[in-house]
Amino acid sequence: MRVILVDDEPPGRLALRQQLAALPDAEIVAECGDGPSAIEAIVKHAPDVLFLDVQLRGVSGLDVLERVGTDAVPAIVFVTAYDRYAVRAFEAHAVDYLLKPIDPERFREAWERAAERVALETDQPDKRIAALVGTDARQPLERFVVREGGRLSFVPVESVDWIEAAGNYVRLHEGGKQHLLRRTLTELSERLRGRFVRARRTALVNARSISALEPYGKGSYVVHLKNGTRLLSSRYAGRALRELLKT
Amino acid sequence: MRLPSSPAVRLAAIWCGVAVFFSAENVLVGAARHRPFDWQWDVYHEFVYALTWAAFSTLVLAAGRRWPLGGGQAARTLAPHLLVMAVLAPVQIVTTYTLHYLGLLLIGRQPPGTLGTFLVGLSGGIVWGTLTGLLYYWLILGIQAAFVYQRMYREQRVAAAELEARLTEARLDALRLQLHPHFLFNTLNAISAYVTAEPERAQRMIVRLGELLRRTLNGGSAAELPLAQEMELLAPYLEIQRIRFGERLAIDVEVSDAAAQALIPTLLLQPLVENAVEHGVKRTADAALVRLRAERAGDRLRVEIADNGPGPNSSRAGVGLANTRARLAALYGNGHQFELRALKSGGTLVTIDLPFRTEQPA
Repeated sequence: MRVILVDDEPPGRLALRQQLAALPDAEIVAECGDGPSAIEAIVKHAPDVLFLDVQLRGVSGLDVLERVGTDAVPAIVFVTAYDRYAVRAFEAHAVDYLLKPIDPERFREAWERAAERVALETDQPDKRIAALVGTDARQPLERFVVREGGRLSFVPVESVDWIEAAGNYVRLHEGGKQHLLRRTLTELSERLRGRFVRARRTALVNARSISALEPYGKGSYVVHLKNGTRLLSSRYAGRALRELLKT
Repeated sequence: MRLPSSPAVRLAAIWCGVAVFFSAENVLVGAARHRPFDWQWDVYHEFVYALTWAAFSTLVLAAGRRWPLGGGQAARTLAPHLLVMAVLAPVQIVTTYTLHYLGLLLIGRQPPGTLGTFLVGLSGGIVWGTLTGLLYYWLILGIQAAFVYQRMYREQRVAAAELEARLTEARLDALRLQLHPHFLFNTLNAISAYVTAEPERAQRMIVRLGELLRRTLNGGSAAELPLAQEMELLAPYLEIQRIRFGERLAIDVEVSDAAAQALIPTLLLQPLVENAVEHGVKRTADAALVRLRAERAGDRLRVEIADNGPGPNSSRAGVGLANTRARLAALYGNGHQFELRALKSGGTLVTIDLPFRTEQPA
């Protein structure tokens, strides 16, 4: 698993590095000493696991997460010397954290839980961490975090024309580009409600990308998108499409 | 018993007590000698005499304040007292008899003859009263001096106790900073990391942490100590911080040989330097720079502590700083300056200006 360590004290990073050295499947891709470089490294390396010191100089570890999004890293383990409030928050949200000095046994437990979460292969944000950082998983989605070529890119929701279900994945169609995301269409349709419409069981369409609806009989339509794509809607979606066009 | 609050009423009450005492003595001695009771001279006169003294004692007290006895100034203040006393004593007794006469006049018990013949008839009493007056003058001064010394003694004790309490508070503050969980647990974490990677460094950190705690826990009770010793106290703290923050913390200490001898309040620098380090490392862009400079300028000691952190803020004017100010005021009064200000380049500058003193008078 690809790991990033964030601690503003060199010995703090050394302590984490030592713990990881004993693990054969850990690969440290970056070590950061402050918030801005941590944000940069997360976007650049798209790590699987993030060890994040809560008290960084200037910004807190939570600020870093708020900036990159809680869905940017599959597994996050917080580290703190002693921050009563942070620890209380971690407990309240059942988020994994390590106390300094680091107990090797506790570290291994945290590592195993992180590995389980990475194995889920989901692009959905960890609900507990989202709640901790204050970004509710039920809130409308603003952007997609896409991991491509070992890095993260952010795709604004409004620039996506339509979303197609593809097995365990969804495929985002953005102009001529396509992005794969490990999420379910049902979850996305919930968080994109009002902006995207379910044209059929396997497709969500951005209402603003629709240029025309062509009746195709039995209540179904051919949906014309501005980029020239044509999609056949299901009969059940007809009413939703017509409603959407009225507004 | 509580004495009345107004000084004039209090004086009158005290002197009335004196009058009651002497009246009782007159009456009892008279009765023992089978002398008939004479209200005018046994009682009435004693009260006129005492109340006149009550008025005149305000003048004596004023003279006592103007020319205080003691404090090695007796030679300079004796002459004015002798002069005041020489005038005050005869005036007091003549005033007493005059008021005695006028009082009788007022209640319709006019004595035979005029005021003049009344006074002439009492010339013997006037001479005797003047001599007694000289005695009273010194008695009043003496009582005043006793009160003044008592108050000074009490104030000195209060000041000494306060100073001691401030030092204890400073020691507690220092301890609190060192036992600050963030500092302590990060230091322990660093030690834990170095135990296998760099055992020697781990050992050094443990020793420094031990020194730091020991020095803070059982520091002496001296209010002041040489700057060199205070720097020794700071050294383990600074070394631990250097290891913790690596190249992100630069500490520049510049203490001249002369300044190192200077006496400073115990634990004065520690909270200030720790503040500077804590603030300095909050910067994200570049390395924290903490600069400590101390130099002697004539009969003054000048200490500067600067950091390049985000500048002074309200949280920084916290309890520790208030205690620092109070301690400096208690030790040096107006003889010191303590200033905390924002630097134009960002960061904070603390300047302390103290009288330069050493353990052995130079």
